[in-house]
Amino acid sequence: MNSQTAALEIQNPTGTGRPRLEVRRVTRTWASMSPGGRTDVVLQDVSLSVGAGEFVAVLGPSGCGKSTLLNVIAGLQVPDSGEVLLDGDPHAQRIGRVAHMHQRDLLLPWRTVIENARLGLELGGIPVAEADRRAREVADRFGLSKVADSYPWKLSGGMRQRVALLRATLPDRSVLLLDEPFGALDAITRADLQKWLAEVLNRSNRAVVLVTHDIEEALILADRVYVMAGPSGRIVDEVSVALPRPRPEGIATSELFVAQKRRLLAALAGQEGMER
Amino acid sequence: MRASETFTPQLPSNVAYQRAKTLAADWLPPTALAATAIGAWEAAVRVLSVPAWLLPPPSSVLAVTWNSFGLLMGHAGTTLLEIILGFTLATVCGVSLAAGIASSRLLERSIYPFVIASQTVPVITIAPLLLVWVGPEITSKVIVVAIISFFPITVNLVDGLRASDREMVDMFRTLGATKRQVFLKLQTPSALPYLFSGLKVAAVVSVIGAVIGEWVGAQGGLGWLMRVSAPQLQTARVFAAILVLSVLAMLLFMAVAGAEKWALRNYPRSNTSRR
Repeated sequence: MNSQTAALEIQNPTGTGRPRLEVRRVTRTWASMSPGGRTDVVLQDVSLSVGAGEFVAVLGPSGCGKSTLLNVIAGLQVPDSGEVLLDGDPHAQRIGRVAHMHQRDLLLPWRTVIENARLGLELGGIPVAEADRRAREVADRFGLSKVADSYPWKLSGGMRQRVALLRATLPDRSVLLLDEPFGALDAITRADLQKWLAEVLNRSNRAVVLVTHDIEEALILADRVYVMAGPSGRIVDEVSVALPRPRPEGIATSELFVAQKRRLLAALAGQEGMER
Repeated sequence: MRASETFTPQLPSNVAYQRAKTLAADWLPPTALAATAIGAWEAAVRVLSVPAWLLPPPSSVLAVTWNSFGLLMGHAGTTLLEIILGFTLATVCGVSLAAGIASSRLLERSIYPFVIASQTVPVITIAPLLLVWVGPEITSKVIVVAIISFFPITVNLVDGLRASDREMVDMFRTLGATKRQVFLKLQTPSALPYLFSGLKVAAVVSVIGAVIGEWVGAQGGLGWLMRVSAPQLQTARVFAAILVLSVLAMLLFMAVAGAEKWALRNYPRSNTSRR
C-alpha cells in the first residue's frame, strides 16, 4: 500500500514545496447498523493536499462522508488505511494541532463570549489573564468587542459562529478545518459571514479545508474545490477556482462564476466524475 | 421631569398591578386549597365531636404550637443540627462517589450496583443497628440522614456528568484538552443543574432520615418528641411537631433552591429547573 502511494502523490499546486496538509488514499469503513454485518464504506481512497495559505473546499451532498474526512484529519477518527501528513510527517500527533470548527457552534452556555473564545488557549496551559488579553485583542477584528462579556445564548446564530471561529483560530494552528460552518444560518447572514471569513483569513498562512454542500460558498471562499460523491465517499473531481481575490462585489452573477458553477454542478451530477 | 410625569402616569401602577397579578397567580391556589382543607378539618372535628386525643382540630394544634413554642424550637434545633451534618456528609460522599463512577468504568461496574442496592434496604431496619453500633447520641442520626440523602445526589450527578454532548467532547479534544480538563471544564459545569436537582430532593428526604433516626432511639429532636407524645395521647403536640418539621423541610428546600439560583445565574433558563 505504502509503495503505491508515492506514485500517486499529488503535486502541491501552490508550488511552495511540501504541502501543509496531505491526505493519502484514506479509506474508512463503518460496521453497518443494518442486519447482515456488512460494512459501509464512508471514505474510499480519498487523497487531497493543501498548501500553506491555501483555502480548499470539499464539495459534496449531505452524507457523502465529508464530516468523517475532517474527523480523520483532526485525528478524532482513525482511517482503516491510508495516512494523513502534517508538514510531510505521517506520524505527527494531529489532535490538538489542527483547528476544527463545526456546524454547531458548541459554545459553553455558562461562559461569556470572551471566556468561550479563550478556551483553547486556556486548555493549552496559557494563564487565564494572558488568554483573556489575547482573546480581547482579536475580538475587535471579529466584530465581537461589543458583546465580549455577554453570554452566548443571548446572541444571534451568526454572532455565535464568529465566536466559534475565534475560539478555533486563537491557538496558533497551521491547519483549520471548517465543517459547514454557516450551514445552519439564513442566506443573508451566511453571505455576510462568507465575506467576513474571507477577510479574516486573508492574511493568514494557514491551510484551510472547508466542507460544504453549497456550490456558491465553495466558489466564493476556496482556491481549489474537490468534488466528493456519496454514498461511499470518493473524490470525483478537482477544480481550481479562477476568480480574482479578494472576490469583487457581485461576483456571484458574473459569467466566469456561472461557468465554474456549471462545471461543479456537472461534476456533482456525475457527468465528469470519472475523468480522474 | 414634569413632562414625563404627565406623559406616563399610568406606567408604574400598571407594572405594580401586573406584578401583583403574577404573585396572586402563584400564591392564591395553594393558599386557597390549604384554607379549604383546614376549614373542612376544623368543621368536621367540631360537628362530629371527635375527641382531641383522636384528631385535634387545627385550632388546638396552633394553640399547642404557640404555647409550647420554646419546647418545639429546642427539639427542632437538635433535628436541624442532625440534618445539616448528615446532609453535608451526604453531599461530600455523594459527589465523590458520582465523580468516581462517572470517570472510571471499573468503579462504575463495582460500586454503582451497591449504591442502588443500598436504597433497597429500608433505612428503618438499619437505624436500630446503628444505634447498637454507635450509641444513642447524634452520630447515629447523622449517619441515617446521610444514607437516605446521598442517593439522589449521586444518581443525579452521575447522569449529569454522563450527559455531556459527544461533539462537545470532540471539540475539547481538538483544542488539545486532557481527560482531566474535559472533566473539570466541560463535564462538571454541565452537570451542575443535575447536582442541584439531586440536592433539592436530598434536602427534603434528609428531614425524613432525621425523624426515622430519632424515632428509633434518641435523647431529643422532633422525631423523639412525636414518639413520646403519641403514647401520652398528646395528639395535638404530635401535629405541632409535624407542622414544625414541614416548615423546616420547606426552608431547607428553599435554601438549596436559592443556592441553585445563585450558582446557575449565568446559565440559560432552559438548562435549569428554574421557570
